[in-house]
Amino acid sequence: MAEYGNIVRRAVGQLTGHGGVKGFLLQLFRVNDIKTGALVGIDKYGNKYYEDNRYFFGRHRWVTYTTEMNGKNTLWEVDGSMVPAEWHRWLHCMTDDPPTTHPPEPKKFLAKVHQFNNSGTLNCYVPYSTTRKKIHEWVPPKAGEK
Amino acid sequence: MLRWPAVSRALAGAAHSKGSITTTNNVQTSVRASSNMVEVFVDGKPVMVESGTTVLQACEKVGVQIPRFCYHDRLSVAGNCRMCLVEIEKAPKPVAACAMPVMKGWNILTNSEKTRKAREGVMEFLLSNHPLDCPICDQGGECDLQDQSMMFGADRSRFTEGKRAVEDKNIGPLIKTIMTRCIHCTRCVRFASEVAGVEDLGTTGRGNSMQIGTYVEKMFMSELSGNVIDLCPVGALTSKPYAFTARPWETRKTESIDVLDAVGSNIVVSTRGGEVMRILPRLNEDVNEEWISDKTRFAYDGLKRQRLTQPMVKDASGQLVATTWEDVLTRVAGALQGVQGSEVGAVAGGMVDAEALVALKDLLNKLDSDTLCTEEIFPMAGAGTDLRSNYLLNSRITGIEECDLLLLVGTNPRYEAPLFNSRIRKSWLHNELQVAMVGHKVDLSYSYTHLGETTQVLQEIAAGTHPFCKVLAQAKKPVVVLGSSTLQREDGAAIFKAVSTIAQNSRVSSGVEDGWKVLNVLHRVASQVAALDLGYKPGVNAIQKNPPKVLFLLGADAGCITRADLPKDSFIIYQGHHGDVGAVMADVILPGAAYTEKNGTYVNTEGRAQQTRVAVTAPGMAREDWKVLRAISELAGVTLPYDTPDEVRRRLEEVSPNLVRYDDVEEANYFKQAHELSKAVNQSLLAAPLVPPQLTVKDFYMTDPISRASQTMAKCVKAVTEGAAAVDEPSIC
Repeated sequence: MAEYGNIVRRAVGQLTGHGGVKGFLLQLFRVNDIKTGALVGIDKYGNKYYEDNRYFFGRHRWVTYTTEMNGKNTLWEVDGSMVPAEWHRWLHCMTDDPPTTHPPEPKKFLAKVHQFNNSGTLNCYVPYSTTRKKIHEWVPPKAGEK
Repeated sequence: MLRWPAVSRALAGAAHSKGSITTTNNVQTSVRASSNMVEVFVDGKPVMVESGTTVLQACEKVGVQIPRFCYHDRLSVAGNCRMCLVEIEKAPKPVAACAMPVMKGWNILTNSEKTRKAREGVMEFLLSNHPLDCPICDQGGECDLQDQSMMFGADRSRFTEGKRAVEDKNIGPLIKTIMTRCIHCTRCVRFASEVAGVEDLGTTGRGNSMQIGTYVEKMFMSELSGNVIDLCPVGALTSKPYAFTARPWETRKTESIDVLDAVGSNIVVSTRGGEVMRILPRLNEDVNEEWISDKTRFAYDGLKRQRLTQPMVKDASGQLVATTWEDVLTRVAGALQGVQGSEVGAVAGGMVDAEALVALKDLLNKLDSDTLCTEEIFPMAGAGTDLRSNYLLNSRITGIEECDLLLLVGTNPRYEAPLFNSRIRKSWLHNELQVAMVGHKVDLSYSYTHLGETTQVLQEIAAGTHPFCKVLAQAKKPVVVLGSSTLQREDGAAIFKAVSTIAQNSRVSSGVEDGWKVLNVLHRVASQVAALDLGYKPGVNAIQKNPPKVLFLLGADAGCITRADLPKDSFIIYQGHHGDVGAVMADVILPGAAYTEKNGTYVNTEGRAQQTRVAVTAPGMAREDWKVLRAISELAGVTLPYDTPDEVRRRLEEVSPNLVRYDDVEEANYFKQAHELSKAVNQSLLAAPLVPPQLTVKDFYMTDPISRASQTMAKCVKAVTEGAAAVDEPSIC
């Protein structure tokens, strides 16, 4: 009997826990999942990270994305690559320590502002040749420097 | 020895290569008047050979190639590899075919049981100490050991011992040595001592601990050193610049001619993916036999650096900026439309093909100008360049083999024309040629009588008062070679007169028949003879006397004419392939093609017209030279009458028919008349000694725009001046 009560209580918590009808609908249509959990942290772009270990492995940590990142409105066009590196580690269960308790080691290759996937945009990666040049052109001397 | 079955088919009955004047070039059988023909049988087939030929040569005459490692038909016979063992019927032991002269009635069995067993045994021994380097060895794919072990070796191995290893020797920045692979055929040792004349390589130790090397830390710095790379049958001596770059089956081979010196050696340009991978020699008995000089072989990386790829124009601030062909061609055409007669002039450099030379001459002639000069001076007094015999190497390179006294005047053929020098050395070694030299004492890789270096000596020989004149008078077939560097001096005409007198006197006193030519001129640049044939004025005097308003530099990088010689607002157009001296002073740059990128006709110093072929396309926006000139002519309103290469060639034939008779030397005559005309020359000899510009090997490597742009050549110069250890090589080498 008591466990049915718990279930009902949790369900009601999920319905009301997103801040009113508008928040609930926003969560429902943006995230497609109305489960609530403990807020573990927010990164500097606005992505919110939640955890609830009562769910099975794989559903126990999740992220709700921010509404604007890298100059693009991501209210409806969310992308998994919006998660920055330090949170990615925790979100994918490579570790149990979120960056809030264990800040990441600064690395040279980590960008200051994390860029999400640029495929199809103007900033996309275009492969280029890394072999040495076959013909080296003659560079004319600078005028005035005789 | 590539592709054994193909080679044996090719050799079937075809022992004569291109136009050989001297048919026998093997030392051991230089029994000149052997009239005895001996009959031998090769596998039952009868063949008549001269007595004294070896078993190997008799088999080759039939078309049967006997495998060998140490035998080479241009070196002395060593007979130490034992791969050529063949069974003679009714003989107790197999004989080394390369060394054994044939006897009458022998039946040589080249494929019998005993012969095959012998070859398998020798191959087994050779492979027992040979490292398993095929995947990392540069010679893979063209390795004699690989080919012969596939054809003649056993299919299974019974080797269970350990192999010996040998340290690598550092013999310079050109040759990579991995001496563990060496099979001690001693081809390199014999080449160095016989053909190159430097006795640096030798064998140390014996048996298993034999090593080939220089024994002391010494560089093999001969100008022909790269040829040991071709000679070595295994990958012990390979090319350092070419190391690990390509495999032979990936490359496309294009037959072409070398233009870095005036000899016109026949080469094969190996390319892959649109860049030149390496340059190999091609057999031509008349010009370069099978050798090429180091500059020819290794300067190809200069073709990839300092290249002119875009047309350039000097903008308002005096800086050369890249632009389009339309822009540049309209500018040049505009400049040419405004000038007439002697207001426009041209200077041709050392690596220009005959097609471009004739196109430029026609273009300027249509503008009523005849001020077309070459950078190299040739004295115009006397007969000048009107008689062809005055400026050619008349005796031809093969003529050196028949002559018995050679007089060199003011030249260092070792570094000016290394293959000519190797021919002289061959004659000196095998045919007892006597060589005398008037000029600075240099090391010529053979001994010669040094007569002195002053012009006084020349005058005395010409007058008949020098003690050498007695020797000259007794010579049966004398040859006099005059270097073109002496003709660059102010007294060039007087020197030519003196040498012409010497040549004429010795010809008369020797009583040689009419076909023999005595007087020769050895040029140093590849385009000089073609330019003189087409009617260019040698030397830039004409331009210096009447400085033109528009100057066309066609590959002219020797710096004979500078801005200072021309009026202040003159317009200089440079057409060439490298950014060297000429491009810096130009107002407009037209990128042209280098010798590997065009079908160009070049005439070597003997007067032999040869053709280079397109091996790679010209880089960037560069085009063939005569096509650029044809385009300019059309825009300038004086359209040249040819549109296709065939029409250009017909024009060349119209002007000078020998230019299209490829690989043939036209006879040139009128020596007596030239001599009479030169007698009228009234110039006195200067007292300065006759010193050629290239004295040591350091001066050999960087002499023209391509070799000056080459990093390999720079490494060679550094190695020669500072020692082999000073050149830093990548560590994998």
